Amino acid sequence: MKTKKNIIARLFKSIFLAIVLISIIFPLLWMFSLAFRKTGETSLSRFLIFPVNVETGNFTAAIENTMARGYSIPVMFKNSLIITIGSIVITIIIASIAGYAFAKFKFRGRSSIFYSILMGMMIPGQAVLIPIFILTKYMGLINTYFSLILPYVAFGLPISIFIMRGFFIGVSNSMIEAARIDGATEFGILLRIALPVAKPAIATCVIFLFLQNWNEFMLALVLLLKKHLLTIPVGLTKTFGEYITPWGEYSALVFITLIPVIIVYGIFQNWFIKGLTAGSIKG
Amino acid sequence: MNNKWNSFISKLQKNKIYPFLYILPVIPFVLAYFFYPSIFSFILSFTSWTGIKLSKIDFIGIDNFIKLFQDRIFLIALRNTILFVALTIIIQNILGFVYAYLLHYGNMKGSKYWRAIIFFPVVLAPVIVALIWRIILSKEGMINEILGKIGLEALQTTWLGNTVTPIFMVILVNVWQNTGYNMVLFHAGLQTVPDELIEAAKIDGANIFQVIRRVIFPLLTPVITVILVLSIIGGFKVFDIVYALTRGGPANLSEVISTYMFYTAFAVKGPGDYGYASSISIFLTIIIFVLSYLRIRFTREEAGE
Repeated sequence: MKTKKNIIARLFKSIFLAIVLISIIFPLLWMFSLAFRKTGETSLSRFLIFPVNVETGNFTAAIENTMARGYSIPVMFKNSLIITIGSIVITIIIASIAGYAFAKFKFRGRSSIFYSILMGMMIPGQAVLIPIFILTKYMGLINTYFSLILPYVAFGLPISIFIMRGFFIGVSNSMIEAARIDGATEFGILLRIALPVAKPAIATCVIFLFLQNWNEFMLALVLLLKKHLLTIPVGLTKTFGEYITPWGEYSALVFITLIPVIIVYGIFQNWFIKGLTAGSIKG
Repeated sequence: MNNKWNSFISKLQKNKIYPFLYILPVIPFVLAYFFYPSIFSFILSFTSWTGIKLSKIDFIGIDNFIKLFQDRIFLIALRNTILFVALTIIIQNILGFVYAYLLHYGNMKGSKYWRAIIFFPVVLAPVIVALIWRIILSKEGMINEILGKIGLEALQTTWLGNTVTPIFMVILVNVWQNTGYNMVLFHAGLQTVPDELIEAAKIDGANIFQVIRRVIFPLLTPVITVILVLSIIGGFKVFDIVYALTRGGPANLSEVISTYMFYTAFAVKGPGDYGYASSISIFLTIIIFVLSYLRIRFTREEAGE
């Protein structure tokens, strides 16, 4: 009886692992293998996960051809980095200060202001897309980094304030009070006492914001039109949309954009999983 | 214990402006990117504005909303969105739960790594995921290759180009990307289920399915509610994957609400009708607000408020 159960349990586990391997890793490997095949080999009829001869011709061809069309992978990386990091820095500064105030000060309208900011999480991006496009146009920000940084900050603020406030509520008042008695200024307390202990909360926000802004597509598609300003998701879509790219080069480009993600994820996977589940209150 | 603190707070409150200085930087963002856009979007939905000049806004009453339900493509988009929501929820949650269950109770070696692998697609940009699957689903792609190898050439097709499969491929790709997310949420929920309860049920002779139905599910109700509402809201908002995979094509057959709204307002060869597009987005917003409201109600009830 016992052994029979064990066999069934083992069977289930093996099936589970097989499904995971086949469904998640296999498609990725298959695509990567395309990138390492011979240049110009468009027919994929040879069913090989690992190409017989590893070739890097697709990578050089892909980079040269995209450059020739006015798109550039390094420039896309630069744009994505500037916009993502810029918006994260501004969001974290504003959110930690405001989150601290919501957690530690009592003032009129505290909870109504807090909940109206949280309401922002409910508004779908689609609903504000057209007005934001028009606003950006009238402010003269179209085709600048700020056209994206500012809305990314706005969309990141509600969740970040929520996370920071939640953390600061748990910071003991006696510590803050002691500092006050020692004559620290209010802002000094936030800067020197509250913020240094808030590192885990800030890390959660950074992970969440990083993924949200690095991967954001819809606003970037509407607000950045010049080829030299595109972020990675929009840049790749436009590159493939405008020209017929041979599958080998296509895979090479996708592969290049995936490498940094794979490395960062490999190192910080637990942080990613934690950061994104904390974001599950976002709706 | 709080006397000193309270007296200090009341002193602080005399200086009423002070806390507001901390919140001040948030206000312009909220006004410019939430408050103004929501109102402007609402107003636009009653106009036929094409975005040329602000002085040339013609109000046409509720015509846009009447047009919505006579618009063949919008109805396709609505049907596809509902299909998308329903199927992704069913598949992602069943798979997500099974994965989480096996990770938690399976005594597997390296379950941490399996979890990391299943979760990996979640961190990718939906657009990049769609681009990956565009090759896999292409005419010479992996799926057709496998079908060819196992002698099922008859089933080979252009998965994203025929009249039936594209929306189902969108659903498949979404499931591929997001099942890991549901798994992690279920996994976190399972940590809260006491092992003794399950042991007790097993000693009483319950089989695995009875344990899941009678012991685990009732304890996971809060988690399940959150996951369901999150997936429904996320499903209604889906845009990136559909846009990058099919652009709503062929012939609008895989359009969802968001992509159709985008097409109406911004597509190069589209109508450029900001008014009509706004009414589509207002329709979507109402659905999402109702769902979010339900979610808050549910959460409050569970918290016993």
